[in-house]
Formats: sequence, C-alpha cells, structure tokens
Amino acid sequence: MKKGIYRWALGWIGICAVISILAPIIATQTPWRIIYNNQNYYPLVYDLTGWGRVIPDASLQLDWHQLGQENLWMAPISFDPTRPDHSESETNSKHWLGKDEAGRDIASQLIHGTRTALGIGIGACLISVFLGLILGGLAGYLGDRGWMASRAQLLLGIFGMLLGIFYIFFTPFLTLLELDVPWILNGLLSVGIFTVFPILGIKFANVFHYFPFWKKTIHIPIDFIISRLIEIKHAFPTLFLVLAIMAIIPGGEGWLAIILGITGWTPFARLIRAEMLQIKTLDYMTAGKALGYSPGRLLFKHAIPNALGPVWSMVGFSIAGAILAESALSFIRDDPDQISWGAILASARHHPEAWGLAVWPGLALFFTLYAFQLLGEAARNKWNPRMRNIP
Amino acid sequence: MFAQIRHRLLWMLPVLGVISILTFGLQKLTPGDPVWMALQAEGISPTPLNTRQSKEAYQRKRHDLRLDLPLFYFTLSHQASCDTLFRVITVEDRTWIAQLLQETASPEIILQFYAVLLHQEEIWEQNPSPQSFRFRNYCRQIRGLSYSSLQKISSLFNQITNSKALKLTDLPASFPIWKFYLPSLKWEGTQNQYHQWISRLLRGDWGVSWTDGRPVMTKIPEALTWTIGLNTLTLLLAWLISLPAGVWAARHQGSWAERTFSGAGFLLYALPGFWVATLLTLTFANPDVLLWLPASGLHAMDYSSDWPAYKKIMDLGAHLALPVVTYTYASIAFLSAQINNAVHQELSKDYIRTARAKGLPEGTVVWKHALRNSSLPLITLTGQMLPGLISGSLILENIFSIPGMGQLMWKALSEKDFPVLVACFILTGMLTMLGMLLADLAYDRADPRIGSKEKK
Repeated sequence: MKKGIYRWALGWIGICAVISILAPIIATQTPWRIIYNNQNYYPLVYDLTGWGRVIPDASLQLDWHQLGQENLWMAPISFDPTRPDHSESETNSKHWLGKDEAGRDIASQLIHGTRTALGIGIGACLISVFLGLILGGLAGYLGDRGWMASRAQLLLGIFGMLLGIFYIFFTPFLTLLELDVPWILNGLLSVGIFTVFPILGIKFANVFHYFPFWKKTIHIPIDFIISRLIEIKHAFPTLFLVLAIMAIIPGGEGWLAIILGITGWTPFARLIRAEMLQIKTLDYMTAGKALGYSPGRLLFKHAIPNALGPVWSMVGFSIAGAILAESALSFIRDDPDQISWGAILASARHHPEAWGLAVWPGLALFFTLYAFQLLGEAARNKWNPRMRNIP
Repeated sequence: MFAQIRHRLLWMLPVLGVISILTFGLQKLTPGDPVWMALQAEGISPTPLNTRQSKEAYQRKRHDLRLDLPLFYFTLSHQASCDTLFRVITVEDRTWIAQLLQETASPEIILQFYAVLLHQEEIWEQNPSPQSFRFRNYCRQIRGLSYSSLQKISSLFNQITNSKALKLTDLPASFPIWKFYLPSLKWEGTQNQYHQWISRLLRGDWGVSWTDGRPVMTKIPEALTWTIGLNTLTLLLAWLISLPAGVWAARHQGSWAERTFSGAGFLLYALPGFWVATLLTLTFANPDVLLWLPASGLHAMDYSSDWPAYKKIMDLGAHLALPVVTYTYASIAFLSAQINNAVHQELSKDYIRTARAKGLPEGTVVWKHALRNSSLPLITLTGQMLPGLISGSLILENIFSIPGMGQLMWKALSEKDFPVLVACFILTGMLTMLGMLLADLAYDRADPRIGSKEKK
C-alpha cells in the first residue's frame, strides 16, 4: 500500500512537471494552426520560436474567432491566463472551470500556476541545497580550529573583501556592463571580482610575514560564525523576512525563488554540518590526510559526496516548503496580475458564491504538497530510517 | 545553569545587533521619503515644497529624524563621491544631484551650481512677482535633467532668467572618471543615522506610527497579546490532543488503525492552512451554505461592553472557533507523529522490558517510564515550532482579521509604516530567540548529560 502511494506521488509530480513545461502550448489564446485565404499558418509556433510566416492580417490577433470555427485549431484550453474574456457567448470556446471576476479563465491560470509553483519550488530548493552544502560543509569540516591564518592574512583578506564589495557596488563599472551584458555574465563577473581581491590580499600577506607580530597565526572560528548565522536566520519568521525583502526588490518569480532559496538554506546546513562532524572522524578521511590531499580535495571530493545521501531526504520537504511559501505569499498579497494558485485562492475570498475558485487551486496545491512530502518521507526512510513517520 | 543562561543571553545581544542592522538597512533601501510619511502622520499636509513654511517644517522634521546625518559609522565610497550629499534636503534633489555626480565625477562644480540655484530661488521667493513665479517654475522643471541636457539649455535659461546660475557652459568636456575607481573609507563617528536611531530605541523611544500617529509602544502590546494568546492556546490544545493520540499510536504501531491514523495525520499536515481557512469560512460562515459562525473579526457587529460575561465569552468563542481549528490541526498532526515516533523508540528499549518484567502495570510503564524519557526531543521541537507558528499567524490573522502581530506587521509593511515595522521585527526576533532558549534550557534541565557536555 505504501509503495503504491509513493508511485502515485511520483506520477503526480511527473504530470505537474509535464504540464508546467507545456503550459504555454496547452493553455493559450493563440491558435495552433489557422487557415487564412486557403493557406496554412502556425501562429503559436511563430510566437514561441519565430519560425514560419507572419499572419498578414494584424486585426486577427485581437480576435481569432472571426476566422470561423472550421479554420481554427485551438489549444485545449484556449485562453491566456492574463487576458480577460468579456464575450458572453460560450459557443466559440468553453471555460472549463469558469472565469474569475476579471473575466480570466481559471483553467488556464491553474495550468500556468503549476509552472510558477514548480519553478519556484525547485529553483528555491536548488539554491538552498547549494548554500547549505557549502556553508554546512565548511562549518562541520573545518570546525572552530580547522582554519588558521596569520594576522596579516586575516587583515588583508578582510581588506580585499571590502575592495571587492567596493568594486561591485560602489563603482559605475558594473552598472555600465549591465547595459549590454546578460545578467548571468554580470553575476559571474561580480562573484569573480569578489573572490579575486581577498585571494590577492592573502597572497600579498606573505610580504608582512617578515614581522613576527603579523606572522602569528590565529584560528578562525568558521563553525561558530556559521552557527550564529543560522541562529540569526532562525530568529526571523521566514514569511516576514521574505515579505520584507520583497518590498525592496522588484517582484518577479525569479527573485522570489532566489529569496526563498536564501532564506531556506539553514536546515540543509545543519544537516550537512552534523553529517560532516561524523565523516571527519572516519578512516578514509584520515587516510586522505595522510596521503597529503589538499583540504579542498578532501572536502569536495570525499566528504561532501558522502554527506549527500541525507540531503536527499530533505529535498522533498524543502520543495514543499517553498511551494507553500510562494502560494501563501501570493495569497496574502492578493495581486491580480500574479499567476499563481495562491492568487486564485485569494480571489475566492471575494466571491463566496464561486466555490470552484477555492476548490481547484487548493486541491492542486494540496496534492502537490502531499506528493512532495511523500517523496521526502520515502527518501528519509531510505537514508535515515530512525525518523520514520514524522511529517 | 545560571552561567549558561547568562552566556546564552549575552549571545543574544550581537544577534539582536545584526537584526537591528538588517532592519535598518531594509528601512533605508525601501523606496519612499520617510520625512513626508512622518509629516503626514502629524497631520501636516505635505504639499509640494514651494512655500517657505512647508520647507522649514520639512527641514525640522528631517533633523528630528536625524536624516541629515551620514548613514553608518563609516562610509565606503569612491574618491569622486560627495560626502555632503545627505545634507541636500529633498529626496528628488538628492537623486538628481547624485545622478549629476555620477555623470561628471566633479562634486565641487555640481554642488556650487546647486548652491547658486538654491540661492537664486530664495531671492525670487522673497520678491514675489509673476515673473519670479515663472522663473521658479522653470527651476522646478530643470530638476531631473541630465548634465548634457542641462548644458544644452543653460545659455537659453540664463538669457530668460537673466541670472548667472547655470554657468555650465565653461565646464571641462572631460571629467576625472578615474576617481570612481579609487575607494575611500571615511570614519563618521557617532553622529550617524544608525547610531542615533538605535540609541533612541535603546532609550525606549520607539516613535509613533506613521499611519495613525499613535505611539508604537501602545500598539504593539495589544497586538502581541492576541498573537501570544492564540499561539499558546494552539500549543496547549495541540499537546492535549496529540499526547494521548501519539502514545496510543506508539503502543499500537503496525496495526491497521495506527497506520490509518498516521496516514491521516500526514495528509492533514500537507493541507495548506490558508486553504483550510478559506474553505472553512466558505462553508461555515457563508450565507449561501451555512451561517453558523462569523467569518472574521473578534466581536459581533452589535457588541457592547455592558453585555453580561457569558454573552461576551460566547461571542468571543464563536469568533475564535474557526481560527483555533485552523491554527491547531497542523500542530496536532505534527506533534502526534513526533510523539508516536519518540515513544515507540523508547518502548523497544531494555529498561522497558525490565519494567514490564518487574510486573509494573502497562500504564505506568508507558506514561511514567517511556514518555518521560522520550519527552526530551519533544521539548526542543516545541521550541522549534515557534517561528513557524508566528509565520502562520501572518497569514491566518489576515484571513480572520485578528488584530495581532501578523496583521499589524502586514499592514505596516504595505503602508511602509517603519516605526511599527521595526518594532515588530525586533520583538518577534527577540521572542523567537527567547522561546528557543527556554526550550533549550528545559531540555538541559531534563537531561543532565547535555549540560555536562556543554561545560566541557
């Protein structure tokens, strides 16, 4: 029975993934194919990829239905999620699940909402895992006494970091680049600048090692710093934090995923840290050290891959958490321009008579959360059987 | 024990410091002019700053809020930056000047230009005539122009207004752009916005709300009472229900009844709270379906303070019924599963077998021996549930319009009411940390092994 329900969960997530990938094709106002003056056109293909011919009559874009039913091949859900449909007749095409107060099709919003939910959930989880792995791994592996630096190195490293921050945020240099460079390159460049200066500073510190005062080494309590960071993050209720950051940063789903990812890394970091404390004492790590492997190689090639197992047991819960946070946020913001399950649910509150507004997005959300939690549970039973039966 | 409490409490200080810096940064990064908001709260109509009176009121308020100071203890910037930019009064002018500086990298020239402009405006203001009114209008219109367009219109402008204000034509064509790439770090001392702000908070002066002018420290306790009250009620109810349920499930683990119970709990836990809230209000507080309970608020429409006590309690109970159900169901599902798991692990240990072999009644074995030993992780869990509960309050208080911290914070956030928001942030942070500290202390008290480990 349990096996069956896990298979169901996997199936549901698979369906959702396919729907969210195909959303612009199966729920759109643009027809798949039309016959105009006895010629075939493929407006959707043209809109999405730019291949094919332009439809000569621009007025058609406003209302495809003037072509007549027999010349139109529409998508199964023939409405855009954002464009309101004020026509009274139901002859042209049907609103399967009805319309909301602005006249927008609910089925189409549901389909595109799947895209939002899964995209944000998985994106946020990836960012959380990445941050958690690095920070938790460092905290557990290095501990409080694992990283030593001379006074000169510490001072010049911090100085280099300040310089890096300066060149990223305080010069018009990168804002100039923003004009014609894609954001990913800009981001990489920023990260590059941020890492180059501290490294240069640390290398340059050797010069100061001539003086005994500056050569004296001190321990840098990485574990302590990261644990405090986790504590600070825990003191803020996540939703408040996300809402507050959203008030500064321009909206958009990509940003929401990044913010949720940045606020959600602590459980991963804790898990990896605990795992790393144990791995550190194992024989193969000692062997690696004895063979003279570099700390980086030991950490990233030996320790972290072995700590990855338990991470899987948390991915499902993390995705579910991010999806829940996203829908709760769009629910409370009640922004009609957003396409999200939470936003549809919010409009249900203004229209108690339209029960479909509350039921369909809620069910979709509930099934998705349930499926991800079930998968999380399955993974945990595999990796961490002691924690059985805990949601 | 006390040394440990002192240690933990001392460690809360830097954490609170970081929280305060984050809150302060948030406040500074959010668009909008705080001086205007504060003036509005006092009932002074923030008309465009063209009269002498409103300008002075603006300047006074700005000084009161210490916004005419540098931001932080030190300023990291480039050589071409202008360290007196924060003294420019209005936000529009400040962004305009900053934009001009960005273009020219020559603060001296731009600031001189701005000073002459202000001076000229003052002269026109003191001699009112149709002509000077028109000139002042011109001056308002050139704000926001880029340097190159200023240069283009400057000779024309000088001709019209017959003034020497805009002598931008004799500026050099090339600017010292290299100055942007040399950092400068300047120490500001305690005369900075953050220091003044935080010392004001530490003195207990939390300011007044910008939306209704009431002191923050009267608004917060009212809201806090509701949030703490409801969450305590939730935790109590959840423990009351899930303790027997969880213990029962642990004793019957593996039976079909337990499997169904655990599965249902898991299902319940996956239900998003705001959906349940929506469905419950649409079912039980909907004139079209069932109108058993009120949909939101705390008191009936015709509520009056001279109702008899039983009527007041009935009224409050009816209003709290739906919120309490939505608050508790997920906690019950979570806690009973945890209790189930913890007690079950304990029941398979040797000392339980010994206790049973001694002939102790099963009730004593489970409730006295197993439960007490398995309660350790459960205490920590309760502490860790706090941030989640408070996050949940944000959503649920808004749905049921309960005047708690969640609603207060949401309103403050959407209205950019920063004095309230700051207090909410710092207080929720502090309360969450205190709650977790209490849970940790209870844990240490219950398990002497942990305390000794800490000491080492």
